[in-house]
Amino acid sequence: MSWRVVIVTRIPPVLAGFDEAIRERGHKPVGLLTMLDRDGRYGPESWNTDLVMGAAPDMDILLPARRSSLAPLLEAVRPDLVVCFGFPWKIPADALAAPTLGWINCHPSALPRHRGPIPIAWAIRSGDDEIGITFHRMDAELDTGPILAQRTMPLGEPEPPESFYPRLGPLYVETLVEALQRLEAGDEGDVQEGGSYETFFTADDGWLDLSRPAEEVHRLAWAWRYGAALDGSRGALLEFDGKAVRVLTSSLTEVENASRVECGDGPLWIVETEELSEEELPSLGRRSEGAQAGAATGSTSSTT
Amino acid sequence: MSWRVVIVTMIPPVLTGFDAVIRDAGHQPVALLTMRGFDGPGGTEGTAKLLAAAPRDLEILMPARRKSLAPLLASVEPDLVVCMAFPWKIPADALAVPKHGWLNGHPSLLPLHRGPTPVAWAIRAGDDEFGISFHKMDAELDTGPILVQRRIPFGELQPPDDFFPTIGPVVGEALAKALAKLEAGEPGTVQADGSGSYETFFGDEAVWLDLARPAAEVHRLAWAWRYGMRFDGGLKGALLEMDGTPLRVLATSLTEVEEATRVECGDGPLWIVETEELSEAEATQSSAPAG
Repeated sequence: MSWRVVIVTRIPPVLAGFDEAIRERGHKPVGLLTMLDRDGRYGPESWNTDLVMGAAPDMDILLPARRSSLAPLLEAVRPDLVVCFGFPWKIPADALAAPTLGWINCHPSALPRHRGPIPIAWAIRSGDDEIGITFHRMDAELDTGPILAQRTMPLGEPEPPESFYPRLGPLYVETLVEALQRLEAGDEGDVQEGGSYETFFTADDGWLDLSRPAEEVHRLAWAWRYGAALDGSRGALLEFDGKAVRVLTSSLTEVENASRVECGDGPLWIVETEELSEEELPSLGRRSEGAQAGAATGSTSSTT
Repeated sequence: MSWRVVIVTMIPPVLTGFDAVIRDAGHQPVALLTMRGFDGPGGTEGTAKLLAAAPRDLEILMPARRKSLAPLLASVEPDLVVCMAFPWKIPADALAVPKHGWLNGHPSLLPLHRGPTPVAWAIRAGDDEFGISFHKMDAELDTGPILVQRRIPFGELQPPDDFFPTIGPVVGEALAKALAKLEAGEPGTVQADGSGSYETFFGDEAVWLDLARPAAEVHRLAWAWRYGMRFDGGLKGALLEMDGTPLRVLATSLTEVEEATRVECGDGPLWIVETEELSEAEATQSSAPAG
C-alpha cells in the first residue's frame, strides 16, 4: 500500500521533514501545495522560492490564488492523503474531501490545549512547561479532529525561535511517522474532548505591565517571540529610561549586565532589548494611552 | 465572449506582457503554468523573479513532468493556452485540454529556425532580420498553422537584456492580432511541408571561434552565443584564446572600437570589445580544446 501524498505548508523545513517521513513509510509525496506570501506575512520573503526550489524534483507544485481553487488543484494530482502544517488558510469542505483518506494536520501543541494560530506563544504565555506536537485528522473546524499521534518536549529556557524550531524538527518527523502508521492500520484516531481556542495576540497585549507578577511578565515577553497580532504590531514593549523598547529576553534570575526591574511580586532582569522601527513609533503614540499607565507604574517601581 | 486563458512561460516580461494583452482583449488570464528553474543560483533567481512578477489573481502550476501537464491544466478549465519560451514538447493530451488549443509564440520567421534557440540561429546564420510568429501548436515543434507573423530587423547586434525589451511592443501587437484571428475562427496559414528546418542547441562544433574564418562569420557566432543556451554540460561559447588564456568573447565589432583588441580573421580584422574570464570548472574543461 503506497499512498499518493500532497504536502501543504508555507515552511521550507517542514516540507523537507514531511518528505522524509512520508518516504520512510513507503508513500509517495506527489505534490507540494503552498501559497505565495507576497507581503512577507508568514515568513521571510525567500521562503516563496525556497519552497519551490526545495520540493523534490518529482513533485508537482501548486500555488492556488484563492481558497476556492484548493479543491480543483488538489484533485488534479489525485492524492490519497494530504499532510498539512503551517498553512494560513482555513480549508473549505470540498478541498478536505479531495483526498480519499482526508487531511491530517500538524498542530504544535498538546491538543486539545491551545488551538488556534499561535499555539506555541500561548503555551509559553500560559506558563506550560512543555510544548506539544499533535497530528490529527482535519475536520471543518480548526484543530478539532481526532488525534493520531502526539509528542511533547520540555519547553526549557527562553531561546530565540531560530534555534528553537530546528530542535522541534526531529520530533514532528517522528510524530508524523507514528500518525501514518495509525492511518495505515485504519485507526480513526482519538476524539478530542474539551479544549480551548486562542486567537492572535492583540495590541493590548503588547505592553509589559510591571505591576503583574514577574513570572507572568517574563512569560509574556518570551511568548511574543513566538506570537503575532493580526494588525502586525509586535510586543513585548516596555518604557525604559523614558523610551519605548522591545524586550527580547528576560530572566527570573540575576544575569550580569542585565537591567533589574521590579515587578508586582519581585525582580525581573531585562537581558536583551531592541529599538522600535520608525514605522512602529507613530502608531504606538496613537494607541499607548492605556500602556503609558503601565509604563509609568514600571518606572515608579523600578526606582524603588 | 471572454476566454479563460492560461499563460505558459518561464520569462517574467513575457508573463506580464501577455497578461496585459490578454486582459486588453477582454479575456481572463487564470493561471501561469511554468516549471521551476534548473538547479543553481541562476535557476533560483529566475524562479524568484517569475513568482514575483505573477499577477495575484493567477493560479501558479509547476508540473514535475510532461504527463502532469494535462491534469494540472484541466484543473483551471482553460479555453485557450498562450505559450512562449517553455522548453517541453507538449503531449497530445495537454494540447487537447483547452477547447481553442494552444497558441505558441516563436521568435523566428517560421518556417525558418524551428527549435529552442531560434534567435541564436538567425544571428549565426547571418540573417538581417528575425521575427515573431504566433502559430497554433500541434504535436510537432513549431510546425502548426501561422496566425500572425511580424518581421523585426536585428540592426546593430546588442546584448539580449538590451535587445529583447525593444521588441516587446511588436510581440504584444502580434499577440493581440492573433487573439482576434482566433476569435474570428481563422484557421491560420499552414506551414508548407518540408519548408522549415529544426535546429537544436549549439554544441561543441560552435564553442571556439576560428579566426581562419571570415570576420563577419566569427562576429556573428560570438554574438549568437549571447542568445544561445546549452544544457548538455558542454562548454558555452564563444571562446577564444587570447595571450595564452581562454576567454569568453561577449561582444565583437566589424568596425574599429577604441580600446578594443584587434584580431585578424581569414578576410580581415575583427575587434574584440568585451570578454569575461572562465570559471575554474570551465577553464579545466577548456584546457583540451575540442576538435
